[in-house]
Amino acid sequence: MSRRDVIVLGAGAAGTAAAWHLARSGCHVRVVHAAAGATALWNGVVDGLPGTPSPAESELLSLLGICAPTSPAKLLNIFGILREADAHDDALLDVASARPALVLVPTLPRAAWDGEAIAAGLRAHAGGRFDAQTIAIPDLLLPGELAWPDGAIACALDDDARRAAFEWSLTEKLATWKNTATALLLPPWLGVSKPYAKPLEKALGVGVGEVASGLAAAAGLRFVHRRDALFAHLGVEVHRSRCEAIDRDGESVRLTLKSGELVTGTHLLVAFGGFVSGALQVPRHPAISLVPAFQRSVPSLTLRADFLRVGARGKELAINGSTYGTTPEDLAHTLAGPALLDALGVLAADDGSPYGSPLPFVRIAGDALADAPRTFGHALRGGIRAAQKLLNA
Amino acid sequence: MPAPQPATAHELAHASVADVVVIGGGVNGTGVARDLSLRGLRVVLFEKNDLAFGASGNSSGMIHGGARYLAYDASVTAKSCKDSGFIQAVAPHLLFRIPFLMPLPRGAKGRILLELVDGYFKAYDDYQPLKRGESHTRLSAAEMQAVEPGLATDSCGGVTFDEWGTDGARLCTLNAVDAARNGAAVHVHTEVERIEPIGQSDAAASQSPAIPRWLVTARDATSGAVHRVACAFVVNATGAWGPLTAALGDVARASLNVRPGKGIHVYYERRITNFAIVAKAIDGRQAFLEPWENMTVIGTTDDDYYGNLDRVLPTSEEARYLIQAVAQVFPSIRRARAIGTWAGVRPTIHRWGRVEDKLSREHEIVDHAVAGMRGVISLIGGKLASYRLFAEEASDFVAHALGVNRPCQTHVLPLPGGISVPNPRQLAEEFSVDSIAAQRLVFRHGERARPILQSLRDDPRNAEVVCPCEPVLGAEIRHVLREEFAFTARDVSRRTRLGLGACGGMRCALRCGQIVASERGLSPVEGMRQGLELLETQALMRRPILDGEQAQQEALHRAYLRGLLGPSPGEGS
Ligand SMILES: Cc1cc2nc3c(=O)[nH]c(=O)nc-3n(C[C@H](O)[C@H](O)[C@H](O)COP(=O)(O)OP(=O)(O)OC[C@H]3O[C@@H](n4cnc5c(N)ncnc54)[C@H](O)[C@@H]3O)c2cc1C
Ligand SMILES: Cc1cc2nc3c(=O)[nH]c(=O)nc-3n(C[C@H](O)[C@H](O)[C@H](O)COP(=O)(O)OP(=O)(O)OC[C@H]3O[C@@H](n4cnc5c(N)ncnc54)[C@H](O)[C@@H]3O)c2cc1C
Repeated sequence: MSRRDVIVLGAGAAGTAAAWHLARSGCHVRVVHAAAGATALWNGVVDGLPGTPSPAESELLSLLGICAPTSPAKLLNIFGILREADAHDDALLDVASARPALVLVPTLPRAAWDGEAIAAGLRAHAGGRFDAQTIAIPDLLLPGELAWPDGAIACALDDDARRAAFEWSLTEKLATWKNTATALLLPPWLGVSKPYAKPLEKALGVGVGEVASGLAAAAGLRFVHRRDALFAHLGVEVHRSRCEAIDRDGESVRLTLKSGELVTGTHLLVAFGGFVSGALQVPRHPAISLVPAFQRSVPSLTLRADFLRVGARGKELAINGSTYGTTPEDLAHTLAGPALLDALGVLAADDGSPYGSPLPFVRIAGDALADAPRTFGHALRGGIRAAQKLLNA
Repeated sequence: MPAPQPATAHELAHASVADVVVIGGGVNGTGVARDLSLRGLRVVLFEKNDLAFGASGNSSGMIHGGARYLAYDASVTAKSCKDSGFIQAVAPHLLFRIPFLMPLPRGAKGRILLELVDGYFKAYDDYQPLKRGESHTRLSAAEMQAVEPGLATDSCGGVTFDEWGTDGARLCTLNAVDAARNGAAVHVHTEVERIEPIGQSDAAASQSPAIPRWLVTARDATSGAVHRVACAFVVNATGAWGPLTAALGDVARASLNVRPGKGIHVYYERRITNFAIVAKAIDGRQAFLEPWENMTVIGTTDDDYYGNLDRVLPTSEEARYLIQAVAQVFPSIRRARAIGTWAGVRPTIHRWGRVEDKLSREHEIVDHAVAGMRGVISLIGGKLASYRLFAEEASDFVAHALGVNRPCQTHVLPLPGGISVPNPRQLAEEFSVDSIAAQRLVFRHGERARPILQSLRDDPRNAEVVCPCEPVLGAEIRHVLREEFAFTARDVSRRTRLGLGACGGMRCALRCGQIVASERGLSPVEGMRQGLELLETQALMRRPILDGEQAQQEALHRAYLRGLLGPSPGEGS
């Protein structure tokens, strides 16, 4: 097998999975990424991985601290909403695994935590399958910490001494519940660099885990931490800079970075995500020069080579009705219906090859793909598969 | 049209009794309800949606002194300015100054215009003291540029003039709260379905004017409960809905000459200028950009509207029309981040054949005695700026008809919270809350900010900043649920501006639903539904302005919600 020089653009779930698979298959891998993508803001819940993961997937999941139970997990979120998931960051509490379940939810004099409402939510959403009760653990946090953001508390708990104190206040409180309670649901605090749920579970003798929170949760921070460790371990070359242009240079693909660097390779794996620092530009319609067509994400990324096309639902972005281009109403969504925005991405045929001519040197994975389901599981699975296809090409 | 059936004896036996039923919880309805209850009358107010759901909560929010009337009747300007002064006196916390800049185009025409405009505002200056306004200033092109560097550089100079801004939803809420304090019964989410004669003879009625002549039937949308009120007088204050409401009695719709004119606004995530700036749209109509509360708003359009009044949606064409107009005078508006829109329908008095914009915005009391319905009036037209005066005139009419001769007091008695304006910085320190949160709280609640903050001492969780964009504290949410007729997450949003900021409710709507559920003893599932309903409304209103940065926000929003709720059916794998 000839050695491949692969550029992976993006280091979210998709880019990380692809880089991992390529590197362990002997490719030289360069990862280019900038700013936080969806995965870094993600809440630790994995959808889009139904069934049993493949061996490669299982291996990667465990490297990323994600557990995939044999049947769907039940996770409770900060608003007291219970929902199923195919897998999850292993610090989250799977309520379903704690049968017969009496879940304890601490109450705290803390603005960002309404233990009563979360417990009430669990009771209401579980329809009698689980019970939940609140317990007051006033000294769980130091007075100064009460107003900290969740992420800051999670980082603080990486410190051994602070963690010991935290564990002590829980042990004391839980002693009286040991025989009745099956699980303890905590805010999203259980460490960033030293995930703490499992050791705590052992120490307390009941299931312990975090609630699934919203944006920029500890789970996203843990992902970033584990990813960076993985890249360091694999010896992947990482360029932290925004890619501003992709074009071809003879036989190779060339990325121009904001830092001024040029990164070239024989192959490109596009995993630049769907939005946060995404990089799609809707081509202008030649007939309309007056008003630029709708642009999104980073308008500065130009796709100088025409091997990447942007569109939705298998077609280039249509210019419809309005004389000004695609109307925002078409792109946007309400909660009720689907919208173009969700489907917007790089066009590719079913096999992951780009729209128009299937090009063996480019593959696309994750949210970057038009019509991707936009789940963690799909991005991870897609990253591995796209890497496999590049290797087979 | 068949005459409405007189009420049956059975219906009457189950009716409660009041002097006046007011229909509509806009600024005019709540204004009349307050005025009449202060005069000692027993008032019942029905609002089918929420207070300020209509034009009153979707206006440009300006309390202007009526400079535009100066050209044809200076006494109207004087009256407007005086009433603007009264509103300031009774709700000092709820008004903020909006200094205007009016740039004029370069060239001979512009220079002539500048002379005219300068003269015009010189005349307006005479009325400014009535509302604590500053006199106008004439500025050269260079001076204009110096005070607002964002202005386009192609003006020959211009003038400044001074107006005030307010929050229409707060104004309605405070009027309703005060009406209730003075004995009125206020029912929101309760639609009036019928107005029937009770069958008193005119002779009997003229002997004792307060005798009930009308039976008003209304239905509570949440519980389905039916309210029947027998009353002597009915005030139809349903704005653009006016003709529909009058038709519930026996008034032909066409006899109420209301022309519904739809107006939209686009708003931006922050204040990008400290001046309101006057612009001209491509069709010559006036448009403007204004710093409003903690954001920037551009407005407004005026188009005939015959769609559903309970669901008025802006379009991207309307939004573009405004942005294009404002960009002429303030080019960088195109780079600002639009985060939402709102739309309302003006109840404008109908005059045939005039250009829409020139229709009179004046108000009119229509006495339906002419149509055989003695004791029913409709209020049409009006402005936020003149609501108090309009309410006073209507209340005089009603009081006179009912033989009550207590005078109006709404120009001297403060609205709730309006006795004094506490220092927000002091409050912030005293209660250890964010000073911006304290400032916004004082803006909305005046001296009632203090008791709201006191609840932080009972429960530290009340200090929770539920909506970080506005910001809104948990304590305020509980307050509006307990004291201000808020029943749903959307109602809370209208009263507090929760969820209307840059993140579109992403961070606060579901939490707000949770608090509503716990306050009102509803199931958490219902709380979640209400949170989602608020998010859905906001998403609908954002649709016309989605662009660039906002598109990213939209995608993030969607991802966040999917993360919380799980993929919707058919999605996810
Ligand atoms: C708040 C939130 C909650 C979520 N909840 C769930 C959930 O419950 N279940 C679920 O299955 N999924 C959830 N998701 C979705 C899931 O996280 C994403 O589908 C998945 O992480 C996408 O991974 P990705 O690798 O395709 O893209 P991303 O993670 O977005 O990665 C894109 C990468 O590309 C880089 N990049 C982009 N443009 C450039 C450029 N021009 N130059 C250089 N680098 C660039 C970025 O830096 C980033 O590293 C959630 C997402 C969010 C934001
Ligand atoms: C775009 C726009 C900008 C404006 N800008 C300004 C401005 O800057 N300054 C200014 O002074 N004025 C402004 N106005 C005018 C001002 O907002 C309105 O004149 C005023 O709010 C009208 O109040 P209202 O109470 O008559 O009507 P509304 O506020 O529309 O209230 C009518 C209410 O009746 C309710 N209702 C309808 N049918 C029923 C029923 N059957 N039973 C019970 N309730 C019912 C509705 O739900 C609604 O809440 C603006 C108006 C618009 C549309």
